[in-house]
Amino acid sequence: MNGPYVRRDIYSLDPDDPIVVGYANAVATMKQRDTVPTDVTSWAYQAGIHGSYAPPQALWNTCEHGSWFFTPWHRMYLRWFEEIVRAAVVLNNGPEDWALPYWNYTATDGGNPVLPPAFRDPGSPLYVAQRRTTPFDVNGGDPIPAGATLIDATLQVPTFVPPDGAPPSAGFGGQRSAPIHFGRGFGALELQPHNVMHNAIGGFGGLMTDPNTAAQDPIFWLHHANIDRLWASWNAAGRGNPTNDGLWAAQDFSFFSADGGQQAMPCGKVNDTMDYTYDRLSPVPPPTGPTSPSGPAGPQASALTEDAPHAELVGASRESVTLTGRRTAGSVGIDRRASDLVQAGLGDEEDAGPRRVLLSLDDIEAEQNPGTVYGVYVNLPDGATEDQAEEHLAGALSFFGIEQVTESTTDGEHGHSYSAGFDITELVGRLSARGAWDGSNVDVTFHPLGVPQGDDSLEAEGLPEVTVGRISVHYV
Amino acid sequence: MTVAGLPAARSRPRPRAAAWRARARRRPQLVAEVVAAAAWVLLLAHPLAVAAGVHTHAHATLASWVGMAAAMMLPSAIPAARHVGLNSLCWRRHRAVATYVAAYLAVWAAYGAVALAVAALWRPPLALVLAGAAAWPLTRWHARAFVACHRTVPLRPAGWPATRSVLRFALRNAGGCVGTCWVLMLVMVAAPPVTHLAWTVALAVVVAVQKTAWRPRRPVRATAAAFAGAALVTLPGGALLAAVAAAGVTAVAARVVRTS
Repeated sequence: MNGPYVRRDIYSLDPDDPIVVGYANAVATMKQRDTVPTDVTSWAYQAGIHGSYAPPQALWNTCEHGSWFFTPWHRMYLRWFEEIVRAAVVLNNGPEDWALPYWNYTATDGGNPVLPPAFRDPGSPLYVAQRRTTPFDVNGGDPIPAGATLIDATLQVPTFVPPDGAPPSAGFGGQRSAPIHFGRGFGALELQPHNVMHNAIGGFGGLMTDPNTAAQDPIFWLHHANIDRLWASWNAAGRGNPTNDGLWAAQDFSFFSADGGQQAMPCGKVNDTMDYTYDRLSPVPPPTGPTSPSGPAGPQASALTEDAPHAELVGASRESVTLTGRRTAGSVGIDRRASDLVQAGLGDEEDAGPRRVLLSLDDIEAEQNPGTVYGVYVNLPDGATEDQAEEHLAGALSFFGIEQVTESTTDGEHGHSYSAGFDITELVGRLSARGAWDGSNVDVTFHPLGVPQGDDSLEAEGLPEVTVGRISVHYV
Repeated sequence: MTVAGLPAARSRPRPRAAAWRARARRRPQLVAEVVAAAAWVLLLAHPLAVAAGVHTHAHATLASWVGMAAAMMLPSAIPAARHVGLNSLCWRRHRAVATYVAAYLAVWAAYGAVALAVAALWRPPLALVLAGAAAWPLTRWHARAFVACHRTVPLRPAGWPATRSVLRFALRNAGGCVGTCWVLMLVMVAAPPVTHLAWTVALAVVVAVQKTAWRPRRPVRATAAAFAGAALVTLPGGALLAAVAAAGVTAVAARVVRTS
């Protein structure tokens, strides 16, 4: 059978479903192959393609992060991994139409934020001990806090690449770039829920927290299947990939297929040549701001023209914020003069005015990833309850890959500071309606997810510090 | 559609001057581009006068050096200047970029003052400088400086903190540039004035490619090999030596490119 294979919600399958059991047995089979380090279908080899601390082998350490190649590279990675696992499933007399399940952890999208039972069973090959234990215990069955599983603001992003001058997170897929192992141009999907869920699952020192160990955890692949499904959902809502930009479309990446041969695929073909579908796509809310000139169904132009939407900085923090694992706040004053200039006509359109509001966190530095996931709240009043806080939540901040972004890599790529950001257009609209947004000062609160509101104790002792160099607000 | 809660813009035809100002605000790196272009115009109009500047001990010496730095080095710093512009409030954008350009060139001027003082006592032979230009990128000091070239610092929104943060960024950034390219600039004191323009063009291209390449290791190594070849050519009797060594250099370069 050559597809289309159907990727199913793991929570629609019983723990003893042949798809779940087949995956567990295949993981065990692939781990047995680890004794031959050059076996490209072994568990360690496949994980090493993403990243590894072991001496490099062919195609190892090639994952693409922090650029517009994040989504296509991982789609291809999963596609060939799935083929290798399917061959192992069939070898173990499992179903021939086996496909990788996905974990939908977003409760508001009908998902379940508790790690699927098969992955929590210490007797299963799907179990990994190195997962988060505090302030919520992932293997103990605690739900991932809702703030880490948000998808709406990401799915609302109108374009794949950010508008001219905007932070990279203003694009769904990330910054235009040459291939880069770890860039700083994280798109909205990569930041949230991708990066955030990596750290929410892994915690400090867990496999999922470090790009060089993440793919060793069997849940990595279900997490990425969900990220891939969200991309497919966004596309299905008529928002296009940069297929008419040669730098993206012609770029190919190589992987190993089940027979051990190398396979290459260009990004421009990644949607046409996949041999799977999803049992369900997520509903996609209407986009914030203007859609592409060619209309929602047309291919998205990534070339930046005079008429393209354009972003302007309207305020930035005067001080850095140091995050130590407890509730911390910073603030941004919106500059009246810049804001007036923007509102008087950012572009040359007659009805110009801001269509999107972006919150950006830049120049983030840390020696080591503390694994903490912070809820980022806008204008959160003191003493807010959990429910009230949720109304002020812009998104979650994690530091997945920060060690790699800030180091110069072996390829001679440049080191950069780490950045994150959120589209807060909808949030600003909601806060304004309640009189909680005055357009002159923006208070930003960082609170570790999983620690109750009102509790300003440390998430855990001895975690590495992180400095957020600057918080800023942009209008598009 | 505008964001709920933010006042909609006034709808009015825009006067031409305001439209130009709006257009200029949308080109954040404008000041850096203008300064680099002006340096090139000056250099192309008076190549020998500028070259003579660094070869005499006249007061124009340092000015010539800064002009060359603006032509050779500033184009490679335009992405950094754009970063400053994009991350500054639009009404102080060009001031911020001008501050960055001034500080960037001041760092090169400070290095120039030292280099020219040393050159006044002892002018290094061109072959030695070129050999140094070939060897320096292979050191880890170069690698460290190269990283500093691309690191950012938090830029503050307004007032003295904003200016100070731009200065801090420029010092770090230009310090990294001097750290990577200091040997290259010595070509200007070592090469005969008549060849200056050619060297300026060649080195500007080399610097721009190395600093803006997404994967710079390969061009860095390839140019190191080229400088090694050029060093041999400039030695006394170098043409003969170069002919003998050419095959070897080519083989090494090819190997470096293949393995990088």
